[in-house]
Amino acid sequence: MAQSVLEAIGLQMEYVHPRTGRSVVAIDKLDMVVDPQQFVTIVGPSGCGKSTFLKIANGLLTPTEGQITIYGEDVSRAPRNRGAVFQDASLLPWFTVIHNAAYGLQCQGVSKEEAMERALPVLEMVGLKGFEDVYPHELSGGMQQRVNVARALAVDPEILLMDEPFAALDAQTRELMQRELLEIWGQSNKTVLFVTHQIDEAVYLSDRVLVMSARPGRLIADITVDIPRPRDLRVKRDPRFVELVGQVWDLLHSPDESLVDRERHNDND
Amino acid sequence: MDTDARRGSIAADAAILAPAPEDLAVFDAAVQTRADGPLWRRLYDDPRFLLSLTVIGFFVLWEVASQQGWVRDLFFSRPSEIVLAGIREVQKANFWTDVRISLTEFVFGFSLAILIGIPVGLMLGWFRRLGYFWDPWLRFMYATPRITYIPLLVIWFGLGISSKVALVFAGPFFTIVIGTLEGVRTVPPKYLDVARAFGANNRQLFRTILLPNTLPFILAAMRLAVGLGIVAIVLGEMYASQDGLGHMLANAANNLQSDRVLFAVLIFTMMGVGLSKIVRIIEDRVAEWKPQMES
Repeated sequence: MAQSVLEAIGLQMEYVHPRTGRSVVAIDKLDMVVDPQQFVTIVGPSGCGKSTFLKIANGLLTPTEGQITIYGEDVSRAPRNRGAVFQDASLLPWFTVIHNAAYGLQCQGVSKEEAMERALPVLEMVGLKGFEDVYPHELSGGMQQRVNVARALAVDPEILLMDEPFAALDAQTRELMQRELLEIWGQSNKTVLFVTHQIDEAVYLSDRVLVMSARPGRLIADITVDIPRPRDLRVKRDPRFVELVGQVWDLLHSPDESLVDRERHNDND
Repeated sequence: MDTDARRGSIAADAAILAPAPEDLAVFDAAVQTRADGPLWRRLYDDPRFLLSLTVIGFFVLWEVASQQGWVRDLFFSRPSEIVLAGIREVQKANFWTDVRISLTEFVFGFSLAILIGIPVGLMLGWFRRLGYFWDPWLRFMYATPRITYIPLLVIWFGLGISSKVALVFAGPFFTIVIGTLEGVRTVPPKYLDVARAFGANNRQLFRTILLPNTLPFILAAMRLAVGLGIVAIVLGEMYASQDGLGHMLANAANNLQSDRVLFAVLIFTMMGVGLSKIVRIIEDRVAEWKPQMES
């Protein structure tokens, strides 16, 4: 097996709840490996620490213990080899679409003109040719998220880190975007780490689904999705797909993970 | 990869998501029918026509009321008298000296307020502790009616131009500092995350996130500050000056020349309107990226 792209080793994240003053464990001793060109999804209930995990991977938070590395380099000083795709409305409203797509490159020190030139084919790849000079607010939510993906792809990263990028879209647009993301992924040969709370989205997109428990966030399962690619949206009616979704659903809703228990657990610590 | 199918799906997506052209056409349609209607109908619907009607009507009524003796000339003057007073005024060398002095005071005071206010606001907004440290003082000074500084400023700077420059500075300064500071503090953390995730350094953070987010706040503050600056000139010159348009105003009032008073009022009004308009034009240009309000 080739060298893994992303590794999390003994990752621990604790913080003090601002109101109650109690210490909260967001992520508990998490180990994870993502191999090259894999599409890996972390799925878990809201508040399970999956977004916190991505924030650490993006170098926006420092873990209490442990670390995340990309090709062996600690993420806190390696912005060049990752591309971040954020939730809705993360485009800079004062820049045009092409400038937004070029923004990641620009942050890495590429001149504005050259960055825009390099971002142009990527914008074309996500289907936004002809929209270069409009402002984000003039685009629909789905198109904005395409720009978001283009911005991350333009820096030509080793790994795409996607934080619930389709969560704010309506159901139909979300499915369209899922299918197109798979097509783009197929073209670009990138490794993807995708975070979502939607089980069917996770199973549809991924090679591996990592299931995270509610707080404190731990990995409770690593499920390989053996549905052949390319995957059409009709896959979602396939018995194997339904079975896998059911398996993940059961894991997230097992008795000891029930909401009541979780609350009690939080109150006790 | 089947690019044609992909294009097709994108076109379909765009068709679903783009605003329907019919929605946008409603407003245009209203304009269309107006352009086709009879002249009275078009004028009746034209906001510019209605505006001119009230303005012209007001002045005609004023003139007539004054000539007929319905209102006292001494208190209200009349438009024709004000125009004549204006014509007499602009022929005096004194008047132009007054204009020059007032403008100089404004330009110096206002420029200083911008040049010092913006960096101070940026710093207080960005370095939170520094901001909290100075906040109470800023609010205190902002809340104080600036006019009350006049006696102190005269003691410090005398009756010459510098006391008025200081007074003009004091009005806009706090407004601009507070506007800038609010702009920096309201930068959505999400945008900062984006910049940091892509490895932006502090200079890039400032240029690509902080400044574009804050600029509209700065300009809105400047638009408010223009009025404060003009008030400062008027009051400063009325109470503590031997020249300037405010002094001319006070002088005319002391001599019960209501036509000259109103001419000075007119000049100050035009100054305010003109300067606000300039800032508004800059604002519109800077805020090109913002969603435009219809109609």
